[in-house]
Amino acid sequence: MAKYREISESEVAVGAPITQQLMHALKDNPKAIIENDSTAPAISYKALQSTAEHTAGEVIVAQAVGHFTTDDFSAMGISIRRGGTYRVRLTSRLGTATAAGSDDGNIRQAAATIGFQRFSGTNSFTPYFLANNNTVSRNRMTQQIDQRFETNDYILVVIDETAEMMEATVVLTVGVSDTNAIYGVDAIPRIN
Amino acid sequence: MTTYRDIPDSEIAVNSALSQTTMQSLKDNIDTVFEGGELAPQILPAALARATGSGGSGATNIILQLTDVFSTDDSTLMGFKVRVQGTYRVNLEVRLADSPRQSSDGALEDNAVAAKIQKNGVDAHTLNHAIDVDNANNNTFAEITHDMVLAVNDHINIAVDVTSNHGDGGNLTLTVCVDDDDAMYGVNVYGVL
Repeated sequence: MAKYREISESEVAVGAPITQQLMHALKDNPKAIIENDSTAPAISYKALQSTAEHTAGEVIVAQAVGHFTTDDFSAMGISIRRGGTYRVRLTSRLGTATAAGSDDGNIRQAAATIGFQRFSGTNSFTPYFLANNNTVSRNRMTQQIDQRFETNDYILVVIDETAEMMEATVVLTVGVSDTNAIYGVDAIPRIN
Repeated sequence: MTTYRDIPDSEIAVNSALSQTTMQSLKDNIDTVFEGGELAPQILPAALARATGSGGSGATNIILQLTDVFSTDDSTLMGFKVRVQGTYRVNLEVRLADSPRQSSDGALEDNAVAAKIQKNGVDAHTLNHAIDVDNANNNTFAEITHDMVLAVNDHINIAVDVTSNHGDGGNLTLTVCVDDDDAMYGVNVYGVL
Protein backbone atom coordinates (compact mmCIF):
# COMPACT_ATOMS: atom_id res chain seq x y z
CA MET A 1 0.00 0.00 0.00
CA ALA A 2 1.30 3.44 -0.94
CA LYS A 3 2.17 5.82 1.90
CA TYR A 4 1.03 9.41 1.90
CA ARG A 5 3.62 12.14 2.52
CA GLU A 6 2.76 15.80 2.86
CA ILE A 7 4.75 17.77 0.27
CA SER A 8 6.03 21.03 1.71
CA GLU A 9 5.79 24.34 -0.13
CA SER A 10 9.59 24.63 -0.08
CA GLU A 11 9.86 21.48 -2.18
CA VAL A 12 8.01 23.14 -5.04
CA ALA A 13 9.43 26.64 -4.58
CA VAL A 14 11.34 28.47 -7.33
CA GLY A 15 14.82 27.03 -7.62
CA ALA A 16 14.07 24.00 -5.46
CA PRO A 17 15.68 20.79 -6.74
CA ILE A 18 13.58 17.97 -8.15
CA THR A 19 14.36 15.24 -5.66
CA GLN A 20 13.66 11.54 -5.73
CA GLN A 21 11.58 11.97 -2.56
CA LEU A 22 9.44 14.63 -4.22
CA MET A 23 8.78 12.56 -7.33
CA HIS A 24 7.99 9.56 -5.14
CA ALA A 25 5.41 11.53 -3.17
CA LEU A 26 3.84 12.89 -6.38
CA LYS A 27 3.58 9.31 -7.61
CA ASP A 28 2.31 7.72 -4.39
CA ASN A 29 0.03 10.33 -2.84
CA PRO A 30 -2.99 9.87 -5.16
CA LYS A 31 -2.89 6.13 -4.61
CA ALA A 32 -2.43 6.55 -0.85
CA ILE A 33 -5.52 8.75 -0.65
CA ILE A 34 -7.63 6.30 -2.63
CA GLU A 35 -6.38 3.37 -0.53
CA ASN A 36 -7.15 5.20 2.73
CA ASP A 37 -3.61 5.37 4.09
CA SER A 38 -3.89 6.40 7.72
CA THR A 39 -2.02 9.68 7.23
CA ALA A 40 -3.75 10.65 3.99
CA PRO A 41 -6.58 13.19 3.97
CA ALA A 42 -10.08 11.73 3.71
CA ILE A 43 -11.96 12.06 0.45
CA SER A 44 -14.61 14.72 0.97
CA TYR A 45 -18.20 14.20 -0.14
CA LYS A 46 -17.64 17.39 -2.12
CA ALA A 47 -15.39 15.43 -4.46
CA LEU A 48 -18.48 13.45 -5.47
CA GLN A 49 -20.64 16.47 -6.16
CA SER A 50 -21.61 17.33 -9.68
CA THR A 51 -19.60 20.11 -11.23
CA ALA A 52 -22.65 22.17 -12.21
CA GLU A 53 -25.51 23.27 -9.99
CA HIS A 54 -28.35 20.78 -9.94
CA THR A 55 -31.51 21.03 -11.96
CA ALA A 56 -34.60 19.02 -11.05
CA GLY A 57 -34.97 15.53 -12.49
CA GLU A 58 -35.71 11.87 -11.92
CA VAL A 59 -32.47 10.67 -10.30
CA ILE A 60 -33.24 10.06 -6.64
CA VAL A 61 -30.63 11.52 -4.29
CA ALA A 62 -32.48 11.21 -0.99
CA GLN A 63 -35.63 9.61 0.38
CA ALA A 64 -37.17 9.71 3.84
CA VAL A 65 -40.00 7.38 4.86
CA GLY A 66 -42.14 7.57 7.98
CA HIS A 67 -45.24 6.08 9.56
CA PHE A 68 -47.41 8.33 11.69
CA THR A 69 -50.39 8.07 13.99
CA THR A 70 -50.68 11.63 15.23
CA ASP A 71 -49.69 15.24 14.55
CA ASP A 72 -46.05 15.71 13.76
CA PHE A 73 -44.42 18.84 12.42
CA SER A 74 -40.77 17.90 12.48
CA ALA A 75 -40.44 14.15 12.36
CA MET A 76 -38.29 13.64 9.31
CA GLY A 77 -37.10 15.39 6.23
CA ILE A 78 -34.18 16.00 3.90
CA SER A 79 -31.17 18.28 4.29
CA ILE A 80 -29.76 20.06 1.26
CA ARG A 81 -25.98 20.26 1.19
CA ARG A 82 -25.72 22.15 -2.05
CA GLY A 83 -27.90 24.83 -3.54
CA GLY A 84 -29.79 24.09 -6.73
CA THR A 85 -33.17 23.07 -8.04
CA TYR A 86 -34.52 19.73 -6.84
CA ARG A 87 -37.64 17.78 -7.70
CA VAL A 88 -39.54 17.15 -4.47
CA ARG A 89 -42.12 14.37 -4.49
CA LEU A 90 -44.42 13.78 -1.55
CA THR A 91 -46.49 10.62 -1.46
CA SER A 92 -48.88 9.44 1.21
CA ARG A 93 -51.55 6.93 1.97
CA LEU A 94 -53.72 6.66 5.05
CA GLY A 95 -54.23 3.27 6.63
CA THR A 96 -57.27 1.76 8.22
CA ALA A 97 -58.84 3.80 10.95
CA THR A 98 -60.76 2.03 13.68
CA ALA A 99 -62.97 4.21 15.79
CA ALA A 100 -61.62 4.91 19.22
CA GLY A 101 -63.79 3.88 22.15
CA SER A 102 -66.04 1.79 19.99
CA ASP A 103 -66.55 -1.93 20.28
CA ASP A 104 -68.57 -2.31 17.11
CA GLY A 105 -65.53 -2.30 14.88
CA ASN A 106 -66.88 0.56 12.87
CA ILE A 107 -64.51 2.45 10.68
CA ARG A 108 -64.35 6.16 11.10
CA GLN A 109 -63.15 8.64 8.54
CA ALA A 110 -59.58 9.35 9.52
CA ALA A 111 -58.04 12.38 7.92
CA ALA A 112 -54.89 14.49 7.86
CA THR A 113 -53.25 17.22 5.93
CA ILE A 114 -49.72 16.31 4.95
CA GLY A 115 -47.05 18.47 3.43
CA PHE A 116 -43.50 19.66 3.78
CA GLN A 117 -41.98 22.89 5.01
CA ARG A 118 -38.77 24.52 3.86
CA PHE A 119 -36.33 26.03 6.33
CA SER A 120 -33.49 28.30 5.21
CA GLY A 121 -31.22 29.77 7.85
CA THR A 122 -33.52 31.44 10.38
CA ASN A 123 -36.36 31.62 7.86
CA SER A 124 -39.20 29.14 7.55
CA PHE A 125 -41.50 29.16 4.57
CA THR A 126 -45.18 28.45 4.22
CA PRO A 127 -45.70 24.68 4.12
CA TYR A 128 -46.51 23.08 0.81
CA PHE A 129 -49.42 20.73 1.35
CA LEU A 130 -50.26 17.63 -0.58
CA ALA A 131 -53.32 18.06 -2.78
CA ASN A 132 -53.43 21.76 -2.10
CA ASN A 133 -54.31 21.37 1.52
CA ASN A 134 -57.09 18.90 0.87
CA THR A 135 -57.56 16.06 3.26
CA VAL A 136 -55.55 13.04 2.27
CA SER A 137 -57.38 9.77 1.92
CA ARG A 138 -56.81 6.05 1.93
CA ASN A 139 -56.02 6.41 -1.73
CA ARG A 140 -52.42 6.97 -2.68
CA MET A 141 -51.83 10.65 -3.18
CA THR A 142 -48.71 12.07 -4.71
CA GLN A 143 -47.56 15.43 -5.92
CA GLN A 144 -44.26 16.89 -6.93
CA ILE A 145 -42.81 20.32 -7.45
CA ASP A 146 -39.46 21.61 -8.67
CA GLN A 147 -38.10 23.78 -5.92
CA ARG A 148 -34.93 25.81 -5.59
CA PHE A 149 -32.98 25.35 -2.36
CA GLU A 150 -29.92 27.05 -0.96
CA THR A 151 -26.99 25.28 0.66
CA ASN A 152 -27.89 24.07 4.17
CA ASP A 153 -31.63 24.45 3.61
CA TYR A 154 -33.73 21.58 4.89
CA ILE A 155 -37.29 20.42 4.49
CA LEU A 156 -39.44 18.67 7.06
CA VAL A 157 -42.60 16.66 6.64
CA VAL A 158 -45.57 18.22 8.44
CA ILE A 159 -48.63 16.18 9.41
CA ASP A 160 -51.76 17.64 10.89
CA GLU A 161 -54.24 15.01 11.99
CA THR A 162 -57.71 16.39 11.37
CA ALA A 163 -59.79 13.34 12.28
CA GLU A 164 -58.87 10.45 14.51
CA MET A 165 -57.53 7.77 14.27
CA MET A 166 -55.07 8.57 11.58
CA GLU A 167 -52.47 6.09 10.41
CA ALA A 168 -50.33 7.40 7.59
CA THR A 169 -47.33 6.35 5.55
CA VAL A 170 -45.42 9.25 4.07
CA VAL A 171 -42.62 9.13 1.50
CA LEU A 172 -40.56 12.24 0.79
CA THR A 173 -38.16 12.00 -2.16
CA VAL A 174 -35.91 14.48 -3.95
CA GLY A 175 -34.43 14.04 -7.41
CA VAL A 176 -32.06 15.79 -9.81
CA SER A 177 -31.32 15.50 -13.51
CA ASP A 178 -27.64 14.53 -13.25
CA THR A 179 -27.33 10.78 -13.88
CA ASN A 180 -23.96 10.87 -12.13
CA ALA A 181 -25.51 12.17 -8.93
CA ILE A 182 -24.97 9.84 -5.96
CA TYR A 183 -27.53 9.21 -3.25
CA GLY A 184 -26.75 11.06 -0.05
CA VAL A 185 -24.12 13.44 -1.42
CA ASP A 186 -25.96 16.68 -2.18
CA ALA A 187 -29.03 15.81 -0.14
CA ILE A 188 -29.35 13.55 2.88
CA PRO A 189 -32.39 12.16 4.69
CA ARG A 190 -32.72 13.38 8.28
CA ILE A 191 -34.66 12.71 11.43
CA ASN A 192 -35.38 15.31 14.05
CA MET B 1 -8.03 24.34 0.73
CA THR B 2 -5.72 24.11 -2.27
CA THR B 3 -6.77 25.33 -5.71
CA TYR B 4 -7.08 23.12 -8.75
CA ARG B 5 -5.39 24.28 -11.94
CA ASP B 6 -5.67 22.42 -15.21
CA ILE B 7 -2.13 21.68 -16.43
CA PRO B 8 -1.93 22.21 -20.20
CA ASP B 9 -0.06 19.59 -22.23
CA SER B 10 2.39 22.27 -23.35
CA GLU B 11 3.75 22.51 -19.81
CA ILE B 12 4.85 18.89 -19.87
CA ALA B 13 5.82 18.66 -23.54
CA VAL B 14 9.26 17.43 -24.60
CA ASN B 15 11.90 20.10 -23.92
CA SER B 16 9.45 22.36 -22.10
CA ALA B 17 10.83 23.99 -18.99
CA LEU B 18 9.72 22.53 -15.69
CA SER B 19 8.35 25.61 -13.96
CA GLN B 20 7.49 26.31 -10.35
CA THR B 21 3.88 26.77 -11.48
CA THR B 22 3.76 23.26 -12.88
CA MET B 23 5.30 21.77 -9.77
CA GLN B 24 2.83 23.66 -7.57
CA SER B 25 -0.08 22.27 -9.56
CA LEU B 26 1.29 18.74 -9.54
CA LYS B 27 1.41 18.97 -5.77
CA ASP B 28 -1.89 20.78 -5.16
CA ASN B 29 -4.15 19.16 -7.75
CA ILE B 30 -4.04 15.80 -6.03
CA ASP B 31 -5.39 17.12 -2.74
CA THR B 32 -7.81 19.45 -4.47
CA VAL B 33 -9.53 16.66 -6.39
CA PHE B 34 -10.17 14.66 -3.24
CA GLU B 35 -11.18 17.72 -1.24
CA GLY B 36 -13.76 18.56 -3.88
CA GLY B 37 -12.20 21.91 -4.74
CA GLU B 38 -14.33 24.29 -6.74
CA LEU B 39 -12.55 23.84 -10.08
CA ALA B 40 -11.50 20.22 -9.61
CA PRO B 41 -13.05 17.46 -11.72
CA GLN B 42 -15.80 15.42 -10.05
CA ILE B 43 -15.12 11.85 -9.00
CA LEU B 44 -17.66 9.93 -11.05
CA PRO B 45 -19.71 6.95 -9.80
CA ALA B 46 -17.91 4.66 -12.23
CA ALA B 47 -14.64 5.41 -10.44
CA LEU B 48 -16.19 4.17 -7.19
CA ALA B 49 -17.76 1.04 -8.65
CA ARG B 50 -15.06 -0.84 -10.49
CA ALA B 51 -16.46 -4.20 -9.42
CA THR B 52 -19.55 -5.54 -11.12
CA GLY B 53 -22.62 -6.28 -9.06
CA SER B 54 -22.98 -9.83 -7.78
CA GLY B 55 -26.14 -11.45 -6.43
CA GLY B 56 -26.58 -14.85 -4.80
CA SER B 57 -27.33 -15.90 -1.26
CA GLY B 58 -24.39 -13.89 0.04
CA ALA B 59 -25.72 -10.69 -1.45
CA THR B 60 -26.75 -9.10 1.83
CA ASN B 61 -25.35 -5.62 1.39
CA ILE B 62 -28.13 -3.17 0.57
CA ILE B 63 -27.07 -0.65 -2.04
CA LEU B 64 -30.50 0.87 -2.63
CA GLN B 65 -33.85 0.77 -0.87
CA LEU B 66 -36.97 2.64 -1.91
CA THR B 67 -40.49 2.73 -0.51
CA ASP B 68 -43.78 3.63 -2.16
CA VAL B 69 -47.48 3.27 -1.47
CA PHE B 70 -50.34 2.22 -3.72
CA SER B 71 -54.11 2.03 -3.69
CA THR B 72 -55.02 1.52 -7.35
CA ASP B 73 -53.41 0.10 -10.47
CA ASP B 74 -50.19 1.96 -11.05
CA SER B 75 -47.42 1.33 -13.57
CA THR B 76 -45.29 4.30 -12.61
CA LEU B 77 -44.18 3.54 -9.09
CA MET B 78 -40.60 3.57 -7.90
CA GLY B 79 -37.70 1.99 -9.73
CA PHE B 80 -33.99 2.11 -10.37
CA LYS B 81 -31.49 2.26 -13.21
CA VAL B 82 -28.17 0.46 -13.53
CA ARG B 83 -24.77 2.15 -13.77
CA VAL B 84 -22.62 -1.00 -13.57
CA GLN B 85 -23.58 -4.28 -15.20
CA GLY B 86 -23.83 -7.38 -13.05
CA THR B 87 -26.13 -9.66 -11.10
CA TYR B 88 -28.20 -7.91 -8.47
CA ARG B 89 -30.40 -9.43 -5.79
CA VAL B 90 -33.75 -7.64 -6.05
CA ASN B 91 -36.26 -7.97 -3.23
CA LEU B 92 -39.82 -6.68 -3.30
CA GLU B 93 -41.89 -6.58 -0.13
CA VAL B 94 -45.61 -5.92 -0.01
CA ARG B 95 -47.65 -5.09 3.04
CA LEU B 96 -51.35 -5.05 2.29
CA ALA B 97 -53.69 -2.87 4.26
CA ASP B 98 -56.82 -4.15 5.92
CA SER B 99 -59.74 -3.11 3.75
CA PRO B 100 -62.76 -2.11 5.81
CA ARG B 101 -66.14 -2.47 4.19
CA GLN B 102 -67.91 0.83 3.82
CA SER B 103 -70.64 -0.19 6.24
CA SER B 104 -71.30 -0.09 9.92
CA ASP B 105 -70.59 -3.72 10.69
CA GLY B 106 -66.86 -3.24 10.66
CA ALA B 107 -66.27 -6.24 8.43
CA LEU B 108 -63.22 -6.48 6.26
CA GLU B 109 -63.10 -7.17 2.55
CA ASP B 110 -60.53 -9.01 0.50
CA ASN B 111 -57.48 -7.12 -0.58
CA ALA B 112 -55.32 -8.48 -3.36
CA VAL B 113 -52.53 -7.27 -5.57
CA ALA B 114 -50.19 -8.43 -8.30
CA ALA B 115 -46.95 -6.53 -7.75
CA LYS B 116 -44.64 -6.75 -10.73
CA ILE B 117 -40.93 -6.26 -11.13
CA GLN B 118 -40.60 -4.95 -14.67
CA LYS B 119 -37.36 -4.85 -16.60
CA ASN B 120 -37.30 -2.20 -19.31
CA GLY B 121 -41.08 -2.12 -19.32
CA VAL B 122 -41.60 -5.89 -19.52
CA ASP B 123 -42.89 -8.02 -16.64
CA ALA B 124 -40.00 -10.04 -15.22
CA HIS B 125 -41.35 -11.31 -11.89
CA THR B 126 -44.75 -11.08 -10.23
CA LEU B 127 -45.71 -11.25 -6.58
CA ASN B 128 -49.35 -12.24 -6.17
CA HIS B 129 -50.56 -11.56 -2.68
CA ALA B 130 -53.98 -11.34 -1.11
CA ILE B 131 -55.82 -10.98 2.14
CA ASP B 132 -58.64 -13.51 1.88
CA VAL B 133 -61.03 -12.77 4.71
CA ASP B 134 -63.25 -15.81 3.98
CA ASN B 135 -60.33 -18.13 4.50
CA ALA B 136 -58.97 -16.23 7.45
CA ASN B 137 -55.84 -15.51 5.53
CA ASN B 138 -54.88 -12.24 7.08
CA ASN B 139 -51.19 -12.41 6.49
CA THR B 140 -50.58 -8.90 5.28
CA PHE B 141 -46.92 -9.34 4.37
CA ALA B 142 -45.27 -11.11 1.43
CA GLU B 143 -42.03 -10.83 -0.51
CA ILE B 144 -40.13 -12.16 -3.49
CA THR B 145 -36.40 -12.18 -4.14
CA HIS B 146 -34.73 -12.69 -7.49
CA ASP B 147 -31.16 -12.46 -8.76
CA MET B 148 -31.38 -10.37 -11.92
CA VAL B 149 -28.68 -10.02 -14.56
CA LEU B 150 -28.71 -6.36 -15.50
CA ALA B 151 -26.87 -4.27 -18.05
CA VAL B 152 -25.93 -0.61 -17.96
CA ASN B 153 -29.00 1.64 -18.24
CA ASP B 154 -31.44 -1.20 -17.63
CA HIS B 155 -34.52 0.18 -15.91
CA ILE B 156 -36.25 -1.81 -13.20
CA ASN B 157 -39.72 -0.51 -12.42
CA ILE B 158 -42.41 -1.62 -10.01
CA ALA B 159 -46.01 -1.79 -11.21
CA VAL B 160 -49.09 -2.98 -9.35
CA ASP B 161 -52.43 -4.38 -10.43
CA VAL B 162 -54.97 -4.26 -7.64
CA THR B 163 -56.83 -7.51 -8.26
CA SER B 164 -59.61 -7.15 -5.69
CA ASN B 165 -62.56 -4.86 -6.20
CA HIS B 166 -62.35 -3.96 -2.55
CA GLY B 167 -58.60 -3.61 -2.39
CA ASP B 168 -57.33 -0.82 -0.27
CA GLY B 169 -53.74 -1.01 -1.37
CA GLY B 170 -50.71 -1.02 0.86
CA ASN B 171 -47.00 -0.34 1.03
CA LEU B 172 -44.11 -1.54 -1.14
CA THR B 173 -40.40 -1.68 -0.42
CA LEU B 174 -37.86 -2.35 -3.16
CA THR B 175 -34.36 -3.41 -2.09
CA VAL B 176 -31.25 -4.06 -4.17
CA CYS B 177 -28.32 -6.03 -2.74
CA VAL B 178 -24.86 -7.26 -3.76
CA ASP B 179 -22.25 -9.36 -1.99
CA ASP B 180 -19.38 -6.86 -2.35
CA ASP B 181 -18.45 -5.61 1.12
CA ASP B 182 -16.93 -2.50 -0.46
CA ALA B 183 -20.10 -1.59 -2.37
CA MET B 184 -21.43 1.89 -1.70
CA TYR B 185 -25.06 2.88 -1.41
CA GLY B 186 -26.47 4.38 -4.58
CA VAL B 187 -23.36 3.98 -6.73
CA ASN B 188 -23.85 0.88 -8.89
CA VAL B 189 -27.56 1.62 -9.21
CA TYR B 190 -29.60 4.76 -8.64
CA GLY B 191 -33.25 5.27 -7.87
CA VAL B 192 -35.55 7.03 -10.31
CA LEU B 193 -38.77 8.87 -9.72
